[in-house]
Amino acid sequence: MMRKCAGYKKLIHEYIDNDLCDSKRIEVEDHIDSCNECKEYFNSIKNLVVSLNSMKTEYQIDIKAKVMSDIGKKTARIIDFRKYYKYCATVACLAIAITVFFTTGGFNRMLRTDSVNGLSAETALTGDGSYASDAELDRYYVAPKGQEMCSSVEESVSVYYNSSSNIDTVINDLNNAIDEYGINCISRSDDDINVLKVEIESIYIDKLVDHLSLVQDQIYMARNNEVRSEANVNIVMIITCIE
Amino acid sequence: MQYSEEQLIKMIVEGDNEAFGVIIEKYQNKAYAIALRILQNHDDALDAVQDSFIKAFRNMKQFNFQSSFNTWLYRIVTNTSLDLYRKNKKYIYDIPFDKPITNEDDDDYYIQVEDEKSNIEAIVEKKDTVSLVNHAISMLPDDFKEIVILFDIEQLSLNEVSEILKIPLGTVKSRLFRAREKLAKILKKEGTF
Repeated sequence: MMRKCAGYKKLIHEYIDNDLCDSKRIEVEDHIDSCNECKEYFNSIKNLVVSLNSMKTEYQIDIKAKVMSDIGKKTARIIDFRKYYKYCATVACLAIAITVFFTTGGFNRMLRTDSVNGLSAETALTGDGSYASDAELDRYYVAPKGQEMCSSVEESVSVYYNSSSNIDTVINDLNNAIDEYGINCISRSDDDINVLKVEIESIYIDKLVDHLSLVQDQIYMARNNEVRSEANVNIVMIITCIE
Repeated sequence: MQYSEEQLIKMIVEGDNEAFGVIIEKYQNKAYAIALRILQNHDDALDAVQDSFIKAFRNMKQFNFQSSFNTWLYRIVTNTSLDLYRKNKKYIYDIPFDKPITNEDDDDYYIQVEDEKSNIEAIVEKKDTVSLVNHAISMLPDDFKEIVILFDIEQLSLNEVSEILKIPLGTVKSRLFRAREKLAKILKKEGTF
């Protein structure tokens, strides 16, 4: 069956990209030969692609020393910290304990958490996905399973992971990123074991999304109310931002 | 001794920072080309590339060899550059795309490869066209812009673009089609094609 001109447009692009099988190539060539409108379209797209191709430029830069120095500085800072780890940990624990106790938000959260399943604000989500008390991890709040998180959602992002992903790895990654990305709350859905809910401060959303985009077993992200589904989704992380 | 890329990555994960130097040397030029296309500014492109390499270093444990390393790295570069581009509204084709950068103060840092084509008229003509095309690219939405830069300008394969942008091959093709159509429409308005 003969295609209409509109049907040839996409094929013309694939023809230019050398992405067609022989029979389709011949079909496109025959059509271009017999249709002035498509010939004109072909010429304009071909010219455009040739121009774009010609813009490729080889550059030579040398940023190795700069990057290595930055990496070195960061590593050194970590080593220094480790040297005084015991002292730092004591001071940090004290500071955190005071902050958590006297900050209204934190205090409220403690109250709220205490009321559900007997779990306290010091509850941490451990690598195996269960809840456990851990004095060293009491810096943040983890909602017990199924608990609703804060309201006034500004924006939400859903992150979909593929079938090779592991929820423990995802949780560990989040645990490690709590301070850096302003994560308020991590919880697992009661209805679906592979649904994670994460609540963060809105100013950190782009930074967290950027961080998560580095994870390879993530398939895609959907912003706000966009709903997507794909057969091989294993884990869905729903990130909500609050003011 | 020459290490494979996989060996280098494992060495980096185990704490061998020097192995990362080899990775930087291998990919820095291409990473810079991608960043420059997006940001259109030498200093910002350098910042974005440096930032991208640091991110890659810090997140090397996340790399699990499911895709090729270069597409993983270029993805970081693309995202970092687009982020910077969005944050800074000043980038509007103030620097021509073709051979845009003069960097007299910083010659050791950046050396531009000479274009061997001679004819002055042809160069002027090319520059005009390139400026217009560059302007048209800057008017595209981000998802069109990145696909045109990666596939049509940097000439990565469709599969590589699919891996970098994490979108299926079919989506790459249809997005490329729409991006070019839009680009052609803009240029037609300006009388270029």
